[in-house]
Amino acid sequence: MTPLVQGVVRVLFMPSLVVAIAFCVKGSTGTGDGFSAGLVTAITVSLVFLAFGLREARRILPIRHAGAMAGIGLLVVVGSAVVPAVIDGVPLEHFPRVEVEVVKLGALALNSSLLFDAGIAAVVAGGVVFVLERAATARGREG
Amino acid sequence: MGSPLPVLAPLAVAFVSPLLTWAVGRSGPRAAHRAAVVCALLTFALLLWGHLVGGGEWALSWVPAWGLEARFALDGLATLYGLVAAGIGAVVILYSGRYIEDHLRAKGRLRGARKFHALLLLFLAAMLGLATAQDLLLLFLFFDLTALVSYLLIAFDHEEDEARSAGLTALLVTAGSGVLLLAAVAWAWLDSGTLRIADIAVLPAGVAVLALVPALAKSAQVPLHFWLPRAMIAPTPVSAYLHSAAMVAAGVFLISRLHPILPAEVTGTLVPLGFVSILVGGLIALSADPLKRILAGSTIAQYGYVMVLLGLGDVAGASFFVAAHALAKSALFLTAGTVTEATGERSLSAVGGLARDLPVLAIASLVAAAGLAGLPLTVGFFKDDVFFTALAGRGTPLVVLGVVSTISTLAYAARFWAGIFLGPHRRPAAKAPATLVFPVVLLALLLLAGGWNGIGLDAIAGRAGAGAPLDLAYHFDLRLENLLALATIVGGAALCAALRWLQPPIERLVSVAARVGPGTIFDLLVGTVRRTARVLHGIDVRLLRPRLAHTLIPMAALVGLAFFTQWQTAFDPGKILRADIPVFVGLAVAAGGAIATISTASDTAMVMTLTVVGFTLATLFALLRAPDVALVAALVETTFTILLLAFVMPLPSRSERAAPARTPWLVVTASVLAAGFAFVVTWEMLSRPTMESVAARYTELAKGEGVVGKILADYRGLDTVGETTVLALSLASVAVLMRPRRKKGRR
Repeated sequence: MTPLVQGVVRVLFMPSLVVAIAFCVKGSTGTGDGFSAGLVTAITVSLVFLAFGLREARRILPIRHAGAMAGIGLLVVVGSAVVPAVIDGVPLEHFPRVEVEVVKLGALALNSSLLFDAGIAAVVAGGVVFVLERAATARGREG
Repeated sequence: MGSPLPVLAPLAVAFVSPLLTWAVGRSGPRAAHRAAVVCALLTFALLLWGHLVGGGEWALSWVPAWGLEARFALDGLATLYGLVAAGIGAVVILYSGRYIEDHLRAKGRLRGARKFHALLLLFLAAMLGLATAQDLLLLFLFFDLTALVSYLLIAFDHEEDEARSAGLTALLVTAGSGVLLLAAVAWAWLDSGTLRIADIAVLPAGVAVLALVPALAKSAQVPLHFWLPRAMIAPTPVSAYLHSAAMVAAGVFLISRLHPILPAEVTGTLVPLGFVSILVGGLIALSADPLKRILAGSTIAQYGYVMVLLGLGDVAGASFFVAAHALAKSALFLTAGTVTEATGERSLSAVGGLARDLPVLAIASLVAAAGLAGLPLTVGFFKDDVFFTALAGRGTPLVVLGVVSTISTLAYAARFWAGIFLGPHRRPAAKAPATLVFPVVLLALLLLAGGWNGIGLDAIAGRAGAGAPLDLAYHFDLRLENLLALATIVGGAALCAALRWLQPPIERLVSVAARVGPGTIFDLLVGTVRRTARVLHGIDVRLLRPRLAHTLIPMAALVGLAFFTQWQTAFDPGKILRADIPVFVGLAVAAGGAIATISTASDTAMVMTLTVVGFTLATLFALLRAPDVALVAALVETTFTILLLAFVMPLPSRSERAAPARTPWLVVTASVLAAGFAFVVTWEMLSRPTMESVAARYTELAKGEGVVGKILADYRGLDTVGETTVLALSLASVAVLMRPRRKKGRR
């Protein structure tokens, strides 16, 4: 790929991840959610594939953990449904509850639904990157 | 009852022990074996302790909104079946250390030993869970778990076609009929509003029948018995455990557990069913030549006795019978295993006169055979005594049938033992290692001790039933039971003597019956399903586009059905405002992209024109002030374009590959129908004046901010969990399909 594309990817990489995190964190009050965050991450990683090639991308990014990341994300998502059910009997109850005052970190309200969104983001990002890497590996072997 | 520890401690140990054995087994088969023996003994000891402190109960409420709870209790029935499962399990695991090592070394996969021990322990845990469960749903779960683990154990030699097929037969018959149990559980819940067995007064007859079928299948009762003789392909310790004390016992356990709430007219049918199984199993045991097949026939027959007892309402007697039979039968299975190890032969006709070579085994095995046949001085005498007591006073026909049954039992027990240890010395036996003899001796000693004072089984079995301990004693008088026992011995001896002439006709009868029996019908069914699947698969995977049509046809049918049945209002074209013009332009672009997709020449161009459709629609959502949907649509479109290109680009170009010349008419028709119906149904929906919607309530709850995010995470969170799981599973399956192959020629 041309140095221009590589330069653009270099410049855009970190901001893209920041956008992804913003989507995830701001999901409960603004536009975006964990799903969008995961997709943005996956698209960013695929740009790195495109600009630097698979081998280089593997060196820069922890791509071989993508599958594990999706698995952990799924555990978090299912866990956030099951754990409240075991504790007090309502699946997917988020903490703190509506009537309780939330802890605020700047403008961010800390709530367990953040964890839920992060889990979805991990499933989407990890899964898509995992499949992309497989496709790229297959292509590299044949051509 | 009340204290949770007596029930929790053995359960916890039982469910941790497979993992522990698996972990410890990393350092070799010996270590796995040692860990497994310790775990099984500890489970047994904890159960015994739980019994001595008077049992216990533990409940965990989960989903209280539906009244679901996990309730376990160590009552009389649970104690008896738990002790049998853990006790026989411990002895069998003790035996299987050396056995499975030799077995696997011959196959060159010694590393499988820890899997074997872990699976046996998992089976023990499942049995214990089943025995202590006090809730219909848990009962079903553990019942199914035993079927799944038994599949893995029966098909343990998975490189052999016959073993896999036998495992599959057992799975289809026992887990397949287990679906009926699930149906029974659901029906019982709808009927009585609770799943707790103690809270149910009596089950409807339909539920009872649904629950009895899987129990009969599990206990290998005619006509669902054919899986058991086939399962004899499993390693001998598996047969000794599953097919004498554990898996087949799960069926009668289920009936015993449900007995208080089963209607009497349904349990009454168990008596004739049991006698048919006694007859069929007896004939198999009298005619079969492979050692383990004789024992399998005998198991079918012996569980027939238990069914008769349960049909007559004697739960305590049935429980005692199961325990006594388990001791004798597992000892005989282990005998068969040791004989095969020492001589290399599996059939009765190939061995003989081994009493000389294996004297200790011969004596121990004689005790076990006597126990099976119900001879005095062994606990087996009492099991037949219980049987006769239940039959006495139920009319002469039943008593006569009972005596005929015990006579046949004595005959096949004698045939098995005498065929191995007496008669002409056909083949010299190698010296049997002590670990393959000692467990049989241990079981024989227990049988003798039980013949002396019942080793406490009478009291536990009594608690399993009405509460009073069974009366186990030798009465030296002319009561009916004693006369029947005497008749059994005389008749059995006569039958043994007559067997020389009787055997050929019995063999012919059994082989004819096997040719037209339920086993053959089952094979025919499975074969038909396989052939049909192969034909459908051939049609479906050959071409991609007809395959898509196969999903479009049902879609067209369903949406068409909705269109013709739900028609309510006229189609309203609505009013078109000046502000809508950009929307129409966007729709026109999307439609153009879709038409272009149909007519493109290359795959890459097709992906790009599809992208035009997607991005235009995303823009339209933004125009219609739906930023969340627009964002997701744009991101999904981008991701899919990348993924599609990644998959399409390695393919050869269209001119290089043999594509069908024309799109088949089926595909065109299905697509047009599906799209047309979708179009009119959507139009009709949008023409309705007002629609009931929860959206207003959601917006109010969310205080106006981030409604979409809150809906996904909170109000409809369970949907999101399901969708995420589906997404993860489909991504995982794509990844598995694309897995790089490690070696050429091997998958």
